[in-house]
Amino acid sequence: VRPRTAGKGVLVVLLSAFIMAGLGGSALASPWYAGNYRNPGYGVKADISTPSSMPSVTSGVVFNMVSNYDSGSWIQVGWVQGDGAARAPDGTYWPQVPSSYEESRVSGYYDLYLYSSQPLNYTRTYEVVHTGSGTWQGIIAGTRRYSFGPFSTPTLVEALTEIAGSTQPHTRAGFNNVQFKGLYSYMAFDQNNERQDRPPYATFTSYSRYNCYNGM
Amino acid sequence: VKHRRLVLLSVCVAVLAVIAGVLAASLGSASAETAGADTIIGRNLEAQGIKATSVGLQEGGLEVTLSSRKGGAPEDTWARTVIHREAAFVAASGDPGATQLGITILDEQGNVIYRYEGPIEPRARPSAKNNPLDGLVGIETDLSAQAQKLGVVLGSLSLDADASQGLVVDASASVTASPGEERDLQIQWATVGLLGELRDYCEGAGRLDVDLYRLTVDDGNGNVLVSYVVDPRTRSVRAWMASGVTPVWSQSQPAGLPGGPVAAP
Repeated sequence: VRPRTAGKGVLVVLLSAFIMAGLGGSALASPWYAGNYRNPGYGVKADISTPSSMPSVTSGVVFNMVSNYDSGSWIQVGWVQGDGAARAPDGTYWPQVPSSYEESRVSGYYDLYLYSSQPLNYTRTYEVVHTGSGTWQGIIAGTRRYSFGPFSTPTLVEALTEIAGSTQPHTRAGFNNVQFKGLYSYMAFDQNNERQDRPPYATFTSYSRYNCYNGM
Repeated sequence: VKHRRLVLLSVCVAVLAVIAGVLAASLGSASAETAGADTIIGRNLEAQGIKATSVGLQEGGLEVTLSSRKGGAPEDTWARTVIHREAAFVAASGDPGATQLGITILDEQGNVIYRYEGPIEPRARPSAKNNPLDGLVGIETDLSAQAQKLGVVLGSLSLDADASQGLVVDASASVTASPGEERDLQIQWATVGLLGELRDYCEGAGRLDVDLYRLTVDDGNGNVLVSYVVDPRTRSVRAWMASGVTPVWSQSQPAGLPGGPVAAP
């Protein structure tokens, strides 16, 4: 009996992998990152640009974002680009052109909002900031979006490129004026927690100014 | 004489009844006009079976508090969605009572386990819809087959023409694997995978004008692992997950420091 059961298990896993591939590169492999972190912070903001030509994303998804991180809970804003086959959490496809989004997970609660596209060769300021009582707010290009909490504040903050689903997604994002918020005011990232999982890659001009890229 | 008195009395009673009716109607209408957004939304939530601990206006913001339990509860997702939508519907109906919405969820000890704040974006309540009898018949067999291949059991699949929220697609599925990668793959299909199939079917050919998609995933023993609601018009997703479940429906996963936290300088 045992070998047959094991065989069935293998079959289910193989079929799962096959169907998940059909879902569009949404397999559960860990994502890859490039960028920098600051610990701790009461906020993080960065001017995140899109490249001058449309990145080729044929398999997987790429995120260029700022985020906090509190033991698996987080709020992030940035721009996302998908391959047109990977499903976004709303059941449609991740946009095939760079588009802004806000996403949050607070313990057992999850929220996602998808917004307008970000033109090529264009910069938007993305920010998540503590507004009081452990609640953090997402701000995109100066527009105050939604706030979530509670987070154990201050938290680790980060400004990263993330590629998921495969290592294919081409991307190039400039991270300029990357700042963390202290108790009262913003300051340039000042710690060397630089990361590049190769891919994605990064060229650092300073802790607070870098380009993250893959394939372009 | 008796007859005349009787007629006169009847006329007086009729006139008084009319006056009383007019007065009652005008008082009622005045009361409706003066009811604030919080009162209206409180009534609407109650009518939809959502028990808010409190609904009130504070500094131009509508504040709704819900009681839940440690770690939250599956029904919180639907409650959050309805609160968002009712605030938007009431704002669109011309009540300028609030421009901001705050939602607080408390556990049994009164600890805040979830807090939301954001602008109220007015939108019209969906128009009343009929429940099409053959709504999801065409896809049910195919979805069951897909689910079976993954070891997922598709439970119920239904359409509900809700008087307040519009046309709601409601689906439930049970995962069979133990916690681990296989169960994560099953949860991924039972949420974003199933949702994608449903949306393609309902919206692809304009077959159905769906207002909300509501999914529930359990472990086959009645323990809910994920509750998941999508509002297709606002491209928003709200979900709740049980302890030990991660949001596998999203590729986006912010990361901690590879080498662990760095001490502040």
